[in-house]
Amino acid sequence: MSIEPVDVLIIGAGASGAAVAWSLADTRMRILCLEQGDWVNPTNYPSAGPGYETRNDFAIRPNDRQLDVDYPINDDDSPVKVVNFNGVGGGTILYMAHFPRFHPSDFRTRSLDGVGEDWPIDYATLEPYFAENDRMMGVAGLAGDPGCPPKEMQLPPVPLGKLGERIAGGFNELGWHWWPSESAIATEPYDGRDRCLNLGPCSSGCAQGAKASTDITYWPHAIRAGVELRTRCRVREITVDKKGMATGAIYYDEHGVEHAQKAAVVIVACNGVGTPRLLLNSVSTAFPNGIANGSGLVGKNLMLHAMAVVQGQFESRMDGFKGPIGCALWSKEFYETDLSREFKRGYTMEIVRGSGPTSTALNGMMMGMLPWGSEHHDAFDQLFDKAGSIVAVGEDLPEEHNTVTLDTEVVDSNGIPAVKISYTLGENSRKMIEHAGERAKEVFNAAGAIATSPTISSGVSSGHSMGTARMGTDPSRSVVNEWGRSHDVKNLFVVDSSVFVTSAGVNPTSTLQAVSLYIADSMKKRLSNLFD
Amino acid sequence: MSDILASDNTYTEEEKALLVRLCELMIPASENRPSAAEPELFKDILSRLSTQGSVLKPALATLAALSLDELPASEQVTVINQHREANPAFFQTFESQVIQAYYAHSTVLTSLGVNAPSPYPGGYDVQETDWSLLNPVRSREPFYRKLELEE
Repeated sequence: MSIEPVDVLIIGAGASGAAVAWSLADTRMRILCLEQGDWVNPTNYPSAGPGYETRNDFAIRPNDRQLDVDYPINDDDSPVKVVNFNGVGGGTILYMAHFPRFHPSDFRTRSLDGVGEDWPIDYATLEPYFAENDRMMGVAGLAGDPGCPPKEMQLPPVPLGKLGERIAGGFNELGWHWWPSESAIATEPYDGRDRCLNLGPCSSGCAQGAKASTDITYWPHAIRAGVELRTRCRVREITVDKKGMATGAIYYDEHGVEHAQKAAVVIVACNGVGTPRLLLNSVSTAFPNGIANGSGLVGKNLMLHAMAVVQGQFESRMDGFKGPIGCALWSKEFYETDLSREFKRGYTMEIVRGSGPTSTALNGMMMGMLPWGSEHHDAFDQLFDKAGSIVAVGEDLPEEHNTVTLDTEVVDSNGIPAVKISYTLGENSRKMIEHAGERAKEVFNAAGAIATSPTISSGVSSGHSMGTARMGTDPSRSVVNEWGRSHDVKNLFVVDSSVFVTSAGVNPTSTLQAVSLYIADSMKKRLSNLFD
Repeated sequence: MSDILASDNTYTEEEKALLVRLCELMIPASENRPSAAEPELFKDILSRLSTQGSVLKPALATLAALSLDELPASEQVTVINQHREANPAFFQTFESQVIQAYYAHSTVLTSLGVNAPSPYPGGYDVQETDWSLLNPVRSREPFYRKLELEE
């Protein structure tokens, strides 16, 4: 393991770090990626062994996992809980592989609807990078969705299953839009990966390797092209020289030994919570409030998505535990702004398939629907495999009081401060959630559900953290410029969803990877004057 | 019972006997599913409960004093439920651990049509999708907001 200086240091080996590493590899620069977690062995995924529903080591919340590679996140003051995964692949290890793109209007919310801010780039600029990312990840879907701009799919769509078809019937009954989800799942063999086996629990890792996580998509190619990936290396801070240029990073290896890694360029790819944490912890004389924080906006404008969840119960078994749990069909019926509604912007309704037996029983017991005694089995049979959920992902507006800050009272296993999430749902989001919940119930009723749950919007987990190092052309109103370079530190870049200006009403992975590829390409086009 | 309980020292023999009884009461056998008190299942359950002694033992003492065996089975559950409010930690812990063991057991999973012991490597067949369901949507014009028209 060399500690020689490198040309490019990438911090974080997740969705965006992998994409930027792969893209920059063709420059032949010496590229090193430091990742605090480790590679995941697919045989360790819960779905490959007994008790798969309740394994804590692959729980989506780091506060539940509490592995040594996790850092504490205080999200007590947030109705939306933070979800992440620290390892090669990052959040793509546990995501459900929903792969929608932002819409063109999502980049112009201020101009179009008078809310949020406009991005300094647009959908047309990102379109070739969306397409390139889709080819690398492999997207399953059906062309022709009238709710989205046209695009090419690499693979046929995931099957709807009995539950999906039933709910699709509900949308048809109401005359509302729906379409099979665009999913980063290999429905046929793709790029050396075998096809999906419909195991169900994608959100605890894919033992089959059909779900596109970057440890099995981008990273093999990037490493073959010469990128070095060093795991179990937790970065504490980014270092700077007297001129205010980044010089590299200080990190702890798996034995807790401190190292200084020098680099000519530093790229941060630690997600919307991890990136501001690192930037705020990188304090120096030049940057007393954290590196790249001249605007004071690092950690601010946190967007987590306004989420509304409704469960629908049917009279017969739905085979809901078969098939990718998070990917079946979606609806853009209420996506774009409609001034007749009480809120601006909108949401995507996404159908989530049913739970396994243990989850069903635990939930039933908690809800008082699963009695002791001779009635237990009949009561369980009334619950199991007869439910599905509609999750509405609603656009969250950027508000400076929603923040990621350092929690200096709590530290991780290397003594680095934890983070505190301070987040409240704004008025626009609350009205959107209320609207989405009622529409979801209408869909279930139209589909013939025998019961629907109340709308759940508190305690939900989105795994979408955005906006905390946002991009823009005005250094006083943004952290990085329109191609991801820090306004304050000319050799420091951010490529993850921290740079998002708006959150859209969709899952962010497709867009954040497209942005990463765009930033990498922008760097490559400017190599001769990258620091000007 | 001695075979099942030999490796566990958290609970006394009397406490273990009561835990077996409680498992039987919580999830009795049905035509095609076992009781949670069946030896193989109870072994898993006890393994899970062995780290929860500090939570469970106080309530076990209370429940032991009820002389449940002297009551008809249906009344036993009623009497136990009367102690739910005063012993929330016991019920939450006991029920959670019993469920996690029971509904992960291969016999139970197989009775539900779920792959045992795990979804992988067997996977599942999902019925072919009837894509004619999309016909009403295909007839719609694109309705996402196109910026060219706005500017």
